[in-house]
Amino acid sequence: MLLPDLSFLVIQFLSGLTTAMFLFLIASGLSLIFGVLRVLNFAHGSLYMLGAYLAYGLVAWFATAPGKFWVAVLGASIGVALIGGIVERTLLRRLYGREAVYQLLFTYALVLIISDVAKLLWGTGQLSVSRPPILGGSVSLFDQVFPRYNIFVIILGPAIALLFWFVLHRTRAGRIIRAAALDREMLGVLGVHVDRLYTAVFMIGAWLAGLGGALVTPVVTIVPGMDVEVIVNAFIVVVIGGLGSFWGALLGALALGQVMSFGILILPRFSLVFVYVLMAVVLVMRPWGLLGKPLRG
Amino acid sequence: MILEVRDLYTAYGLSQVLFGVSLSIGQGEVVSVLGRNGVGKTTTLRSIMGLARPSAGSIRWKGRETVGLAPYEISRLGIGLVPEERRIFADLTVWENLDVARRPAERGEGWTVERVSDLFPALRDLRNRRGGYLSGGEQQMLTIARTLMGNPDLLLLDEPSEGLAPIVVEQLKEQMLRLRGEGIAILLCEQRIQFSLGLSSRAYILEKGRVCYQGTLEELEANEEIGRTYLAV
Ligand SMILES: Nc1ncnc2c1ncn2[C@@H]1O[C@H](COP(=O)(O)OP(=O)(O)OP(=O)(O)O)[C@@H](O)[C@H]1O
Ligand SMILES: [Mg+2]
Repeated sequence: MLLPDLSFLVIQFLSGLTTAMFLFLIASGLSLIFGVLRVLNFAHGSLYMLGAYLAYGLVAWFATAPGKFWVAVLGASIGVALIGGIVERTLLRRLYGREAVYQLLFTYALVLIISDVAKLLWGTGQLSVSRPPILGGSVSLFDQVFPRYNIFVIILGPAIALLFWFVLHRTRAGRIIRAAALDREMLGVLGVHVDRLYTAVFMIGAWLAGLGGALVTPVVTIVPGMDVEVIVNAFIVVVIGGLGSFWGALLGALALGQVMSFGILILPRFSLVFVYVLMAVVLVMRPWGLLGKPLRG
Repeated sequence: MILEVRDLYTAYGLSQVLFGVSLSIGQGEVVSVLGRNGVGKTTTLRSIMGLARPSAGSIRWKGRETVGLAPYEISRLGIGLVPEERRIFADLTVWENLDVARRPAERGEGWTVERVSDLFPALRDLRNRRGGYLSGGEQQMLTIARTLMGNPDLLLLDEPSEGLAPIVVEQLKEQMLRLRGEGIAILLCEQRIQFSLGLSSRAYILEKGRVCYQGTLEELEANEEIGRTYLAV
């Protein structure tokens, strides 16, 4: 095998970083929902897919409007948040306090329902969305080209991570969310309407998934099945980083993004092997993930 | 009477714990509920707070029936529980624990981080320490301070002296006396009579989910027979 030159490695690193940012958007929401509601949301990938389809639909709707892509991203992510809120309030809510298997079954049923609804509305073909004009084209880096849109994604990821951190640690709402993750009953005793908080947290998680799905549309083709692919990756991220840990989601996404990006170079047809090796190593050494905590009783 | 509990029956699943508990508290009064391990003190407090659902009986708070309300609603009506296990949010700092529980007073100046730190000066130096790293005594002060941040008119205190060194217990009692001076009503659960002496005026003694004695603390102190039979020493 020839040693690739440095500039090629840099580009590969950057595309791994781009992947990581999408993974972070979805895994952080998954982790947040689990951390607070203690529900493992299988349908999180479906919310991401809904975000992609809704963005596609909105871009088509606003075909001639300037800035239609941004309107679509905003509209799709908010739409997914609202759908998440309705699902939590009317259905998921009834399953709190039951055994976890009911919640798993329910969110798995959601996966099937959302998948069929998406096929009904948008068909089974491949759909695509073009990049917003302002971020079209590429920039050259060390004699290589890299899409401008991907650079935007690489900057946006940490910005959202910082915003997320700021809200959780520097606002009262964030402190209440962290307290809810620790002791929901006590928080209620202190006068907090925890049910409403749960809805809000589920909506934030759904919003992040929808945002990821909407933003990924210029980079991938929108097809049925993207929901399952992304949820599998998101689960790998949280297994590596630690379910329920915010920094864990970021670290896991960064690790998985790079392993996927460089794994393809080394063993093009079996790059997934590296992903599973990484996951196995983490599971053997720290079963609760790199930054997670062992589950308390 | 601001709180009147009548004929309360509460069960956990099939095991009946309370068999008709009745008690009452006046405005600004400090009342004790005494009894040994497992007689139903915590269950009584949990029922008042809405954490356990009584199967029969009534709880009237300022004239209003509260059975069936959620804990957050009861809290907002002015009842604050300080749980036996303290239940500090371990990953939050002392200040964050207090901030999370903050709710503006309906009248008067209300409790602030500043004011609870005047009552428990030790908390001031610990502001930025995580709740999980506090000593037992510090946790007890924080859990009381945290409940005060919601400006309750009645404090349900579940065995505050449990597991604390005698000197810390003395200090805590001083602080509870100051709290009484603020006009806040307290329902105090204890296994022993010591903490209640000089703090509360009346006491109920629970035995197997029933009130088996009630009277003033002086009467109770004078009656060694009752103390030996129903209380821990
Ligand atoms: N969640 C529960 N499920 C089943 N039984 C319970 C539960 N909590 C308490 N009990 C039982 O109810 C009875 C009364 O318990 P409770 O906690 O009210 O007593 P207590 O007077 O507070 O005791 P202690 O002084 O030890 O705190 C005990 O026999 C206990 O085993
Ligand atoms: Mg108890």
